[in-house]
Amino acid sequence: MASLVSHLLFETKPGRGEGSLAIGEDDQLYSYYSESNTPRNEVYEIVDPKQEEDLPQEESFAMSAQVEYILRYFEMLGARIESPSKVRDYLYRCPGIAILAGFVSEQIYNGFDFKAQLSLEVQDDEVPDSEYLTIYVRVPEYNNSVMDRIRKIRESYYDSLNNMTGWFLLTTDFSSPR
Amino acid sequence: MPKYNNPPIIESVCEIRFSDDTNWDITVPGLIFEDIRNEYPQKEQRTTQEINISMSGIAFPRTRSQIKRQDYAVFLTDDKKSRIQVGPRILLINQLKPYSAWNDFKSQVNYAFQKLSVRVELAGVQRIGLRYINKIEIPMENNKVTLEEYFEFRPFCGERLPQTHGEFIVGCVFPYSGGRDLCRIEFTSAMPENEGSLAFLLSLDYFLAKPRSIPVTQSIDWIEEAHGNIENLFEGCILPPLREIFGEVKE
Repeated sequence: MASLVSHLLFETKPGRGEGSLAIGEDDQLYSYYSESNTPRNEVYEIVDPKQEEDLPQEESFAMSAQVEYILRYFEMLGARIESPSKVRDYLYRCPGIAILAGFVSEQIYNGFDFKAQLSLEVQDDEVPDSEYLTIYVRVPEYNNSVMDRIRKIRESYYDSLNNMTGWFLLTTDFSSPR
Repeated sequence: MPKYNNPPIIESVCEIRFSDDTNWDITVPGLIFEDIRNEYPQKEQRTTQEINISMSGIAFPRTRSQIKRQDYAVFLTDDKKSRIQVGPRILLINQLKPYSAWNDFKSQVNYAFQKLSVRVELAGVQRIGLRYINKIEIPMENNKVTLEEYFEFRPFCGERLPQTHGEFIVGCVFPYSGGRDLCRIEFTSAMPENEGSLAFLLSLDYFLAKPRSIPVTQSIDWIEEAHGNIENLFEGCILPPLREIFGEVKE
């Protein structure tokens, strides 16, 4: 929003290197180089904040943006994605699973003190429409608590699967992180 | 406007939210499904839960939190690439890749809009939006991509900053039609599909910023105008080497 930009810029300290703002005779907002009278080529529109409060700001829902955001999130977490095109294709068909997987991965990292590695795979049981997404949790050392923690996370999302297209499994293959 | 053999569009979206005085009941999605089931035979449902926290005021900031749950009926073509979603006073049309042509998508929007108009008396337009998501993949040279070669809309790093950066997100909102409409552009890094490439998402979300500022009957005209402005913005964001990647059709 133009007004937000204006407000943020008003908070900068003129003359300390950040530049300054001033309202010109034509009621437009001009930006000046720091400690200089030379205006930049920018003009900001001032929007009345009272008007702005009523503006509908939400985005139009785009499934692809959501799926791509979650894939990028997995990448940033250092998760391994086996057959990325297969995983992406599955998540586009089952976008609810993408959101759930993003939610679960955050719980895994918190539940395993950020020591877990995640691996995402789409399992195909060779029966039509039987594909599902699996997240494997891999940790440096396995003990009894690992499965307990996985079960606890499963309990947190299991009911959500009932109303979704697609299926999702959280488990471990007891491998070391790769 | 240039035409491309490999356009980067991975999704086009048209979302119309109708005003609160539009009469609506829970049977509407079922009625719509009866009307469109030949073209959109698959059905699913989608629930969203949004937490909106907004802040206003500079000297004495006030925060306002809203939790909003929405249920949508989702009607799909057999290949699941085209969707019509119907929620309370909301109509949403999504077309996933491959995107054939604007006229095809506009026909889908018009089709859904007309079907809803027959079943519901639409009192006013609260918000209408046309959004395009582009995914752009560029092969790396020497393990990097120089954004200046491909984009006119990109992160700017001043001379005293490192000129090599990693993940990024930049955005800007442009006003149109005297502030009646806004277009939000967001440019972010994304997960590439091909090894040796970097990927970027370029989202152009054009929407009616002032509720009820167009009559319902002008919705389709508004969408046409929005599309023209989005096309210009998109072309303004990119440079010739990218047009080459998209396979620009030379006339």
